Amino acid sequence: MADTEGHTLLEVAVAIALFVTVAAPLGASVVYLQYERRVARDIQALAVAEAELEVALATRVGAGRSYWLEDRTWRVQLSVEHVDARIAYNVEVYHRRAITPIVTLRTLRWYPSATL
Amino acid sequence: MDERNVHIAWGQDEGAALPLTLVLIALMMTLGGVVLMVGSIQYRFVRSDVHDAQARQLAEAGIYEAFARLHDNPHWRPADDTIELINDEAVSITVEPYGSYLWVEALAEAGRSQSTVRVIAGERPPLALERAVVQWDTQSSLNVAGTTSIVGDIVVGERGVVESTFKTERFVGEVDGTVYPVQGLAAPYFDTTAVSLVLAQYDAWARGATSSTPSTAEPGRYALVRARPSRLPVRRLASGYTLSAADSTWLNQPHRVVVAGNLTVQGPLRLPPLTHLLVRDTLVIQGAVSGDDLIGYAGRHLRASGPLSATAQLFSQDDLHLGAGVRLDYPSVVYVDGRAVDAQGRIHLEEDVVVNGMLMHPPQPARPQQAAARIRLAEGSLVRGAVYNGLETEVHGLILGHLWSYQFYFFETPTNYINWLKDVTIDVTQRPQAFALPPLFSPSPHLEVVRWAATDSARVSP
Repeated sequence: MADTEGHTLLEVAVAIALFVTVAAPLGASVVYLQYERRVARDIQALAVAEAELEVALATRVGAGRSYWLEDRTWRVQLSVEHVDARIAYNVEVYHRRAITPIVTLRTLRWYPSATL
Repeated sequence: MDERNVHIAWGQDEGAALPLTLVLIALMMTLGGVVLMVGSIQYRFVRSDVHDAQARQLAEAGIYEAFARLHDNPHWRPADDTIELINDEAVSITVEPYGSYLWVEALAEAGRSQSTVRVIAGERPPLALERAVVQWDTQSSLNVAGTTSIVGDIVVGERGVVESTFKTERFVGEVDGTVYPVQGLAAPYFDTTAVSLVLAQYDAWARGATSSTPSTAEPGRYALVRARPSRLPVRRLASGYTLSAADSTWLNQPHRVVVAGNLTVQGPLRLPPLTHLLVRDTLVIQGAVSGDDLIGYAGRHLRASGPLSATAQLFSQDDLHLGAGVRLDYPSVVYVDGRAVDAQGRIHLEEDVVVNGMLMHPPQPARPQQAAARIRLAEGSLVRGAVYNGLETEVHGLILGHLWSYQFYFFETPTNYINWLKDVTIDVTQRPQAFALPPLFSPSPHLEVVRWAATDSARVSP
């Protein structure tokens, strides 16, 4: 009886140990990789948003413009609103298949009429 | 080995397996937890980077919103006022004088990120001042003589510009620009109110007024990042004090140095950015002194000699003398008020002085009593920017930019020559494109960033 109990306990212990040593790290790695993917995606999306905004500001994209840029990974929407010599820039970066933006950047510039 | 021993051995195995398994489970769970936590923290970091970028863009938006409001009301001076942007987001804005320029600060939040952007703002030259030369003494023509070369447009009284023979020497220079003779020409617009208030405040501080001086000094690098001209820690020194490298122990962060008398700044010395030297009587700067965004104020005389290399705004009520070897980088301002003294002030640049920025001497309420009340640029001096003078300007040096003056002057035995420019070179095309004036050269100034002073981010508590 003691032997049987001992074997059973050992088997259970080995099974749990195997599960923990194999399955748990595997599961954690999968979750970690998901995080990594999101991190990498968000970093790229931030870089794309900042670059688009910089280009829009440097080229003084005209007010009232709104356009989509799309490539294999990203969709970028830039909208430019003009109120009283102020121009509000709004950049949204989406993953190609997503419907909510990953990064949104908004800023404003002021150009008196003489310089527009 | 008998059966009893075998049983004992199994019993020992049973005892070890369970704790070992538990330890292993705990270890792996911990490992898994750490891995998940690292991933989660990494993700939080990147989201906070996104919030940082959003906060910074909003803060920059606040700077331009402030420019827009200052365009409509140039005397608007909010202090940590919350204003709404056109997209309903809010930023906190501060505008305060920084010498003759403006200090504009915007603070914005996004998520748990907070970003502060600080800029030094100046005014884009109005179109009317894009000329190379403006002379608003309409009593005589502007006489150009010798090798005088003016590249750029000229605005003068209705008597126009005359290419004159000086004694027997014919004019061999050139005027490469359009001449605009204007009937009843007046001084270009300049609202001295803002600068006058600043000088009055500097004077009050130099005389020991304590009403608006801050009481605490924030230590170390934090103070530099958080520095705002009105919040600088104050250091009072005795009259006759010599500021030198020996003071570096406390002068490792910007201060408002106040002296109710005279002060000598003796190089070699590097002053921290934003340092204010406010002196009631005479300020002397000599030796290898350097620094950025410095303010120097003297209630009477300010004298600097080389090798001084700095970005500085130097103010004096009476006279301001820059000796050989002084190099002031853009955006520097050399300003003499002159209205509080009989002599009405003067600015003198010796040979081998370079000013990248502006020389200013605003129009005076009356004609000066002393002939020396003028701006004088000695031969071998250079101004890259602009000269604005409500009195006489005597030019022997080089001006790469603008010269706006009531009159021009030089003396050659035995005659004073009024409104003559002889052997002078003024070239507005050589002025750097990025050039901003101290406000207010127009009632609705078009402000722009002269310098991004600092940007810093912080976390806010949830």
